[in-house]
Amino acid sequence: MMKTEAHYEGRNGDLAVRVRKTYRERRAIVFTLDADFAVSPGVTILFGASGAGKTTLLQCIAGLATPETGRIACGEEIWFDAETRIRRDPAERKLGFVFQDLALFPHLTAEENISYGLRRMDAGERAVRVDRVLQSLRIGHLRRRKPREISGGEQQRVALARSLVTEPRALLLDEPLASLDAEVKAGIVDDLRAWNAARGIPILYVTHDREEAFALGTRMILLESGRIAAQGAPADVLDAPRRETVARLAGFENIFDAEITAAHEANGTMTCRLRADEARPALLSNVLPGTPSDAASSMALEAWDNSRAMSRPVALEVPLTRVPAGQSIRVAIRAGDILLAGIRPEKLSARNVLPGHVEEIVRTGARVAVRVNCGGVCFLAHVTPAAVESLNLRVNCETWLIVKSYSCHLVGSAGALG
Amino acid sequence: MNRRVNAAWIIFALLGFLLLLELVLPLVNLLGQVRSADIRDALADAGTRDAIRISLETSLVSTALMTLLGVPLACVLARASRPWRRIGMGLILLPLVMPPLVGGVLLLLLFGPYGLLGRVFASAGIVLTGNFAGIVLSQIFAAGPFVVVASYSAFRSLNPRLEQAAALLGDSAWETFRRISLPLAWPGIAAGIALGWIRALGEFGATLVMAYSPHTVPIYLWVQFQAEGLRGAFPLALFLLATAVAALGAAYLLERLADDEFRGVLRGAAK
Repeated sequence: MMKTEAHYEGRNGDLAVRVRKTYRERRAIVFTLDADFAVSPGVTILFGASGAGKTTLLQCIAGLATPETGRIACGEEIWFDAETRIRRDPAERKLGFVFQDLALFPHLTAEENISYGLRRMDAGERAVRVDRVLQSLRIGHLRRRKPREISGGEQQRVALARSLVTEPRALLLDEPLASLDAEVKAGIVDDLRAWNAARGIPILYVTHDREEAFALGTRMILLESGRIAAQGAPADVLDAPRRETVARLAGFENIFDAEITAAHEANGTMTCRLRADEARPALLSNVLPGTPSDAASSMALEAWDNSRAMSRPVALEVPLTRVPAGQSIRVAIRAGDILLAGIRPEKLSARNVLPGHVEEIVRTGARVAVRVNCGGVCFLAHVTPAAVESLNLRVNCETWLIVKSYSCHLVGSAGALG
Repeated sequence: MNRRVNAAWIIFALLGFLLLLELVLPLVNLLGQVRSADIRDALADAGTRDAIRISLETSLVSTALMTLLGVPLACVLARASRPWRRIGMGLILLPLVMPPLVGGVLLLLLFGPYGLLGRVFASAGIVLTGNFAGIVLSQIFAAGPFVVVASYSAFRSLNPRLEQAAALLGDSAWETFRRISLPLAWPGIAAGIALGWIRALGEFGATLVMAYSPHTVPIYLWVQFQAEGLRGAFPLALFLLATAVAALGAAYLLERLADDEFRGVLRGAAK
């Protein structure tokens, strides 16, 4: 389901951002933001874990924080340039900003909040604009209410309306839809898209929610520890991560060291040998000492240590890529992409069918995490409780692990792999 | 475990009650002992009427000045960096912890006829002690901190995002202050002003040193007490009591207003 990118005509240019900012605590550097990118008209997602620097970046763009070096421009307007010492106040940047905590003025009604930025406008025109935005965001009936008298979703719309009504040249949204349910979110997103269809300004939308990212943007920038880790279509950035840290962020529970042993051009695959990882994959986050699962865990861990001592190398067939034989890489596989079988399956398209035994089974809600030891390498698989029932999965029972080649993603720790 | 909690609770309640007695009993006792005849006599006395007039006039002037100077100070302090805030608040709190008599002595040293500033003003023909001005200076010294501290807390409790949002919507610093910061901090500031006023009204120690006359109500109360004993002090004590209760009530209501009206300053307050 490819979203086609709308083509925006008009005077709205790109939002070009190049910033570098260091945060120190008692002379030691604790965080560095170093980013260089451009946001073209349309919605671009700024994605990253908490602490990655997304809010700091937005603050620099808005003028609420000052970078040490860099340049920020919207179209032809230069908002910040360290070299020529241009530094426009936030009030002078025609920028819309929806804060994470909304920052609605509590002593003003919805209507007063929304018309706040239009103070210098002629009263008649102001009324027209406010009416129009109230209508397009469907909050006309709330105009005389104070922020504390309306629901979370309605507050969001008011905050959005307040930014949109000034017809900004760019829009920043800092996790604006967090803590809203899916339906409410979808409604607001649609309204925002409709609004921007007519205007085509660059919109930078910050989120750490994968689903939101996929639903919204045609472009994504991934921020990690203050630096841009990846850019591109959300599907590309998140589904086929080229960096290991991205892989962890995107939810790949299995990451192994591996060595490429052979390439099979005709088959379109390569064989790689997995090394039994030093660290055991994290299965349980909280195991209370003395609980039954703890006993099973320690037994399982013992068995794991033993099996590692006499492990046979585990081989996986992965998609063919331009990596020379002998190179070490890391292979990332989603737990949800691994199948389990009670008997050795035949005639499957999957290239990897590995025997192993179950070490641990942990159920959380509707999902069961199963750790399977295949020749010293531990894989984490997600299956449904129904599957556990029908396969009669128990600790220490033998099982077969099935992984498609295309579920094996090769990631590098520095730089992208082809 | 329950038994332990109960014993502790009972002991705490008893101790607290004893303190409460010492605070409240005198009040109740006074109300029980006053007779309307006393009040009528007191109001007939010119000295009492003058004292009330002087007290009201000086306290209003002091309160106006404290507000005019104290609120901007609180605003500046609230936005300063931590070291400056600490120093500033430390200085502001000094008059509060100082014995009022000592405060009076300090003021006299500065504003008296031979004091550093007193001399300068005297050469221009302006006297600052033993008159209306002296009373106002004492009151500002004693009560100013109330206004500043209350306003400072009010400004500090504002969500900085609100001011940032206003800036992004095109407001200059002054406009943000006028349309956002001040209205939102107002209940806290007003409570501080109410408390400052009542403190100014009741000022005695510093006034005793700086401006024994014309007599303010507290000073006159002292004079009457020495002349006629407790009976003479009753009506004036009642006057001060009544104004104190009124001011406290106003301050309490204003704080309530701040909480209720502006609870939604942070998004988390949404239902």
